[in-house]
Amino acid sequence: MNSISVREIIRDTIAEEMRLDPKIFLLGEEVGEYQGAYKVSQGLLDEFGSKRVVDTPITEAGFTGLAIGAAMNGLRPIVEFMTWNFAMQAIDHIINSAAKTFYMSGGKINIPIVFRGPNGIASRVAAQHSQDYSSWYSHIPGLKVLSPYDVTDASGLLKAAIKDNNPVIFLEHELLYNEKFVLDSKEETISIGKAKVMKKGSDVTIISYSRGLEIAIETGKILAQENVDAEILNLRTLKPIDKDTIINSVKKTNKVVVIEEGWSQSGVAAEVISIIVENVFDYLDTEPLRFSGKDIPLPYAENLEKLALPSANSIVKKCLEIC
Amino acid sequence: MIDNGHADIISKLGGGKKLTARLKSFTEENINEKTVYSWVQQGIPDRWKIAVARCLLEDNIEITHYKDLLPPGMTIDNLTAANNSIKIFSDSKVLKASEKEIISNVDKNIVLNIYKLMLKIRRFEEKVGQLYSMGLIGGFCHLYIGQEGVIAGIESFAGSEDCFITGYRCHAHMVSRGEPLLNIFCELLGKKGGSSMAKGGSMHLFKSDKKFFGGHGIVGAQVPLGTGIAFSNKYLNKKAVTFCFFGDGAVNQGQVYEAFNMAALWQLPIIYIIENNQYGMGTSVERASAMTELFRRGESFGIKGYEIDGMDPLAVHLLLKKIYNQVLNEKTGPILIEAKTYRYRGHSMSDPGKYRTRQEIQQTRENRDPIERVKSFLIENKIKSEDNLKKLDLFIKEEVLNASEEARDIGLPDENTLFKDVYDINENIK
Repeated sequence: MNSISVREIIRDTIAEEMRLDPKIFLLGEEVGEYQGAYKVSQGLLDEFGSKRVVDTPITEAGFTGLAIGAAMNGLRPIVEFMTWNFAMQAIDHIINSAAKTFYMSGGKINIPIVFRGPNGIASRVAAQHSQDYSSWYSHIPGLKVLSPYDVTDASGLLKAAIKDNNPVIFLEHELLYNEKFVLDSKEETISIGKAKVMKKGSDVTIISYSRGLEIAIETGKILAQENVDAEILNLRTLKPIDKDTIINSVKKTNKVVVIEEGWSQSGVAAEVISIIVENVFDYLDTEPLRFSGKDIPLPYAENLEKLALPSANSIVKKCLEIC
Repeated sequence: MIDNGHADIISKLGGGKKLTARLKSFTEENINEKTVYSWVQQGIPDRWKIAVARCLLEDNIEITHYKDLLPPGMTIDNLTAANNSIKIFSDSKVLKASEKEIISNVDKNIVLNIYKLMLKIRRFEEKVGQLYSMGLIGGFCHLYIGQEGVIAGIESFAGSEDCFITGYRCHAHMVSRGEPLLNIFCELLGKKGGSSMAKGGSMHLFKSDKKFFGGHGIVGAQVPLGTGIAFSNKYLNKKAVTFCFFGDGAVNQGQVYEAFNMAALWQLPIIYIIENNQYGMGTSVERASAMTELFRRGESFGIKGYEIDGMDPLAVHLLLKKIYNQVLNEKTGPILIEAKTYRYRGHSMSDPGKYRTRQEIQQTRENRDPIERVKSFLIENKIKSEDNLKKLDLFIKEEVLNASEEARDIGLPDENTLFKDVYDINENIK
């Protein structure tokens, strides 16, 4: 089986959906002539032309509002943020204009729109360009938040996002763009709101999303050498989060570890652990563990950057203490 | 005679005759010498104070000790900035329509429809004000009373495919687009059957079947949104103009200019309408905007701007209809309109009103009221008799009263609607 990179599969999926529906268009900074700041939109301008692959000025608040307005009146925009860090300029529109309008209008005006781009840390770009917004957006009713790990996730979830009639936050990861995976053709479309068991196990449940899965999988491999059988769970959707899959896994393993790149306070791990404590407290053999980004703006120096993020080795050590 | 130094000011500015000519030249308003001479005895009225202060400033006459000359909160810096906003290159200008042009160009039925709509909005808003004072309407509530001429003038020529969007002062746009009054009352009262299922309230009214896209609570946000609506019309090859309304407060939000830039770059079919009611909450235009000729705010994007008198609905009709047809048929790209208007009531119902004088409000009501203006027009041109118009008013009052009474009798929304419409669960692509 041929493998393909996350970058290419996102591009191919956008193209596939754009071929099906002329109301879908891509808009953002450098998506057209430049072929994408991270080359995700490579070739799309050639195929669809400048009407449907729209280069914008550097004007996040403006083009985000504009895209939402277009969605109110019948189009289905895909908005690319060069990175999610820049979307903070536009977060008012994402929350106040996109997420709340369907409810506030009593169901009269829906906003079918996808906001996508690289989220989380990059490599050595320091604090303003390295942040995980997962918990920010998954806090908001009216938004759906998707966080793909591999090409199957990226393809299936992006299709679902583009077809959805609601605003969807699609959090890609720059450090996964070049990673190659084999596409699982059995999962051509993926339902929003469903987590995936990446590896079955019986001793401990390791839960993560996006690039955190890389660490989770590595942790699982090391633990296997120590005869600890970890179950690995890929959240895929952060909102609405798949409580059932989380609960069922913890019922089986009785131990849980959650990994996230983002900061711990009010984070995704905090939410997952709350779900577990509220629903299956009695099943827990030991306290739930979370491994998050350190509570500091991400530093630039290579060694400090590494120290600020969760690592498989430190997680393995803790897991062996509880297993 | 009150000694406020006004006689002294007039003398420093070269006397009544000189001052009259000067005021005439830069305000483009008619004022006669007799009036200016009367100020020596009676003091300078509020509405002329800024203009007089500008004269002093231009002549380098110290104005700080004429304490009552500047409105509350305004500083000399504000005034200097306004004064420096000298004419720059542009086609932007102040548009006027004479009574003669109106008589020969505006159809009688249109005049009557404009009148009816304004009256309906006025009576509706008055009733809303009453209900609010009775504690029956919650939250924020921004009335449109005084500004009716703007929306009524535009509605008189807008087509069914044209799109509308505005900020939170949105009741009038909803009435104008034809939503039954009952539904709006229900929404404001938080009752079942509200136009937004009682989920939005006063600031979040929508009428999607008539292309009214709200009703937005974040100042200025409707400008990029409206620009996007125009973008979609162009994308879909729809022959439609988007009317995007915002106030003189919103003009200082950065996103407004991000939107102007894209609208001009992509030549989108949109008419931006600044409803300049002279105060963003309690801050006057002069205290908020370094350049107060707001219709010129699109110039650095090549957007033509025009000032019109928003208190003259027939002029709004005549002047904007022409511009509308250009945007619709000649694809001129975006246009910026500054409609000079005035709200008689507070910014919202909780407005202490300390930032302007009662006299200013009263004078505007007496001299510039859009409804009285069209009423006189109807009577003078024998389109309707005073008696006819009285009956019409009674009819509208009754319509408003009945809708409000009916809404008050309706129950609260069902509790099982709490979680409804957070997400659109329709799985078919729309």
